[in-house]
Amino acid sequence: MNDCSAVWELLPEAYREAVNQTDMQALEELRLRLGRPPTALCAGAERPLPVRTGFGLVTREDLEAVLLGASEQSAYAANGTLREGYAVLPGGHRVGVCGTLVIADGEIRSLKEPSSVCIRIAREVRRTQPLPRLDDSALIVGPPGSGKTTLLRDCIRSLSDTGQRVCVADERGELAACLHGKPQRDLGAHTDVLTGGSKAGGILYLLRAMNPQWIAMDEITAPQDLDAMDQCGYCGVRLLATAHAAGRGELSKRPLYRRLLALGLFGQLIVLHTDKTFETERMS
Amino acid sequence: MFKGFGMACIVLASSCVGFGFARSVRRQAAQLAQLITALEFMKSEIQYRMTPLPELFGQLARSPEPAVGGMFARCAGILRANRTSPPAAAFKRAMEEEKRLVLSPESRQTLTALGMALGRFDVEGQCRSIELAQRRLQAESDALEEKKRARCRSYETIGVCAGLAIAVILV
Repeated sequence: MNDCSAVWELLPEAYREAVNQTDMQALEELRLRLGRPPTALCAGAERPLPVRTGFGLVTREDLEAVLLGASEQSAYAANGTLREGYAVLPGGHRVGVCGTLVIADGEIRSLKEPSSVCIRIAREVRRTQPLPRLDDSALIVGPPGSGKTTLLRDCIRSLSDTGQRVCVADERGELAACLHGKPQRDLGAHTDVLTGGSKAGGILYLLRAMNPQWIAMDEITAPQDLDAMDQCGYCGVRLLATAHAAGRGELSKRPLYRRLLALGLFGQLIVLHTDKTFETERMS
Repeated sequence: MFKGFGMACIVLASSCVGFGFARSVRRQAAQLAQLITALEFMKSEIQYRMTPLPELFGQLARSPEPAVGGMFARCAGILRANRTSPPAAAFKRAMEEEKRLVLSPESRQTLTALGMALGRFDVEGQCRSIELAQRRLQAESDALEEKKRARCRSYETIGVCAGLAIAVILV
């Protein structure tokens, strides 16, 4: 597990003590819900934290303190990601937040009255299966929770460490979890990360600015992503991306991915299963 | 001989008090000017780079005016020591702890009000608060500059003259 000091700093003393009594190796998430006891998600099961008497229920001050710390005491600096519902902590941990959204001109402007926060603990997943050999653009597909982002990150690091220039369009900061420009997740020695903005804009930006050999991105979700990939797919740049689908069959059922398949941008399909194993297919 | 020495001491001490007051007025003007510059830097950093407050205060700690730099250094230290410490409280505490600051109660009030807004809003809201504080401090600085020369001369003259008067009376 990564260094968790950034998480501990956000928690009230009583919660820190309680977290220390849990199985730290199995700890996946901490959840604070207003007026409820704090809970920990360990090995897939959510249980109340053994907080000492008198500190049993989460207060508004607890939630605001977590948000204050997660935004480095500067709402303006984290507003971009907080509007999307999360903030990144040193070490790659993420704080997700729920509450009342403030809407202006049809867009999310900020979040007031936080009602719950979810602190996801970043952990290194050790993969026993060797990584796929990447010699062409590759699309990683799998159901939610199968480890698409983790496999994508591993593939990026592996390509990068063989000396290939990999540029990452990290729209939501999930791949590199950059903090002050420094990736909190190891993406290899020859990786350049562009955080924020849209994936489509990021892909074209990286193509113009960084002379990449590979461009990687997480979760193709919009037609604009396809347009941008289409523009750079035939420029000698190879693509590495993920998509939500259980396999090739599901891919061809969704209109967006049908178009993606029709574009013929990817030469390899990596299908992940729920047990985190995967198999590689050629796309012809 | 002793009388002469005593008179000299009285005049010197009194003059020192007068010159001390004058120096305090000059320092106040210098600190106000430096604070206005710091706020301009703060606004640009927030607008252009969205630098978080602990880092921003760390940069402002390098201000050439020691008291202003000291205040920002303390503020950065408080925020870094406790990540859940609200900027308003940190700003107020830093201002109170930095004893070299010779600001008027009005300037302190302006800075306290600014501290209340720091870190709470988006870039636009933040910049509006900084601009308001800048305008208030600028108005105060202008007023002070206008009277500075006359006030400093008065303090110095009064210091020397009062010393002489006391010496003459005592002798």
